[in-house]
Amino acid sequence: MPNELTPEGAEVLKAILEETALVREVRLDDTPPAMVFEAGEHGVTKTQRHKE
Amino acid sequence: MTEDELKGLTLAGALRLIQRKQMTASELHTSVLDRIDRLNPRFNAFITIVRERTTANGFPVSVKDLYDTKDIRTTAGSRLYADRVPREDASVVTKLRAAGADIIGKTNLHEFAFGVTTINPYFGAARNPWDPERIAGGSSGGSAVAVALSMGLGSMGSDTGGSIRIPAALCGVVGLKPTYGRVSIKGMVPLSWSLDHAGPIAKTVEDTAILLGMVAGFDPRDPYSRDIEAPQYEKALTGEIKDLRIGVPRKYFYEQLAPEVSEAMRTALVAFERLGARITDVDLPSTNIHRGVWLQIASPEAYSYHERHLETHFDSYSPDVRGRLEAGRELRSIDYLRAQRARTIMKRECQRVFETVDVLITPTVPIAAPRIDRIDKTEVAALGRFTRFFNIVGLPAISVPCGFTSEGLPIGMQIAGKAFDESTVLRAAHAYEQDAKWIERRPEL
Repeated sequence: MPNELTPEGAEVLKAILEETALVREVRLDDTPPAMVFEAGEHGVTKTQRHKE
Repeated sequence: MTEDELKGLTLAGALRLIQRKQMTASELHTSVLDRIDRLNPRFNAFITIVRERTTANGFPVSVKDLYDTKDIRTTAGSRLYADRVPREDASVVTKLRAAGADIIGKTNLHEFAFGVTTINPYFGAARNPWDPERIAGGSSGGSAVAVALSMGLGSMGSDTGGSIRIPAALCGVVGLKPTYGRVSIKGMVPLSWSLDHAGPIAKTVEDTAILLGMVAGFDPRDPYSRDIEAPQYEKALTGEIKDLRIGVPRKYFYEQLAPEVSEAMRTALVAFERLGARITDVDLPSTNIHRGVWLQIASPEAYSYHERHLETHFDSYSPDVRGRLEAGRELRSIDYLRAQRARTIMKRECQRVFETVDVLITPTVPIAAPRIDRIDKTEVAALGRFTRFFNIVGLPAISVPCGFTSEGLPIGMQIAGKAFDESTVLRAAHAYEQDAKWIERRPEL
């Protein structure tokens, strides 16, 4: 694989970095990272689980 | 069975007819294969057709060609995997077969599911059942086409940023992305592990509920599967939504809509009110960062899976998908972590919103299906605008037909719900579907 990005890759990277600039502005304070593989955890209560 | 009978047949109807011995599974299988042979050369819904029946009383369904199928090639829509033949079934396929399904074929998709058009450079573009000059949407485009044209009675797609819901919307069928962890992703060629979801595409909400019931549940082979019992989803389809609390996030999700999509959504919300639901406006402020969060998570995860293949088979990828993968190599780990922290903020935001509403309703896609020969970058970007948010937060979201443009192209509405509360999402979609009756309109083929 070449070290340099293809023109398509460079274009995609540019777009990602533009969007990333917005994410970098977010005040994260002491927010921990999401448990990456438990995306569905928030929003469900024990009561709901019990009902299911 | 005549073609007209097959076109009007749902999965629920077929199961009833087979059970009452008013139709044989063999007769149904033959009719579906005949229809595939007639229509697939024009619409490219299937990459591989499976002609042999494996279940005596089985019903014909398809799976996207990134679900591993034992002794049947699984290409992921790629040149790289053109001859890849798995040794075992994906968990979803195992569950489908156990429920009595005959896998009728492997459906076309965007190369490695990394795109929303299903303009596949190796297997041809999946074509829209309502106008074959237009895209089917993606990445599960072949599945939506197959269902819309009755080439099988349902299909399993996958959804990392909207890949079930987008083609469902553009093809006029129903598509559900369940809660993350509800349906096993073991044995699927991954795109982005923490955003990938497996889910059904079907003609009706009832069929969607039936298929979800077949494949939902804990899978010890999938480390991300959640051990939360799946209810009987059909029981939720009561038609009753009185006092259902609907949240409408007008900012972002109702902006930059094609006029006919905007009008269809306005009419649909009026219908929900008439059915007794209570509608309130809600705010999801993190919509302004969610695209960046999605890209910062999906890109490095996708690159990680493909890293070795890119080193050895660089030219086996199309420039389009290779470009997206390559970009993932250049990103910084601190930005991945930042995106995961922002993801926590988004999840908390949803948690707060769902304290006051039961479901959120948005358009699925802001535009109707673009033309294959003229699709531009703006249209491609528009297709995923409203769906990827729910992949990041992992919440269930369905697309259900809510109208047609003046050119006869379908419009889809998205209903999202609380984690593991697919039942309420299905109940709302079903009540609307039964009232609006858009499902009675089928492609004239």
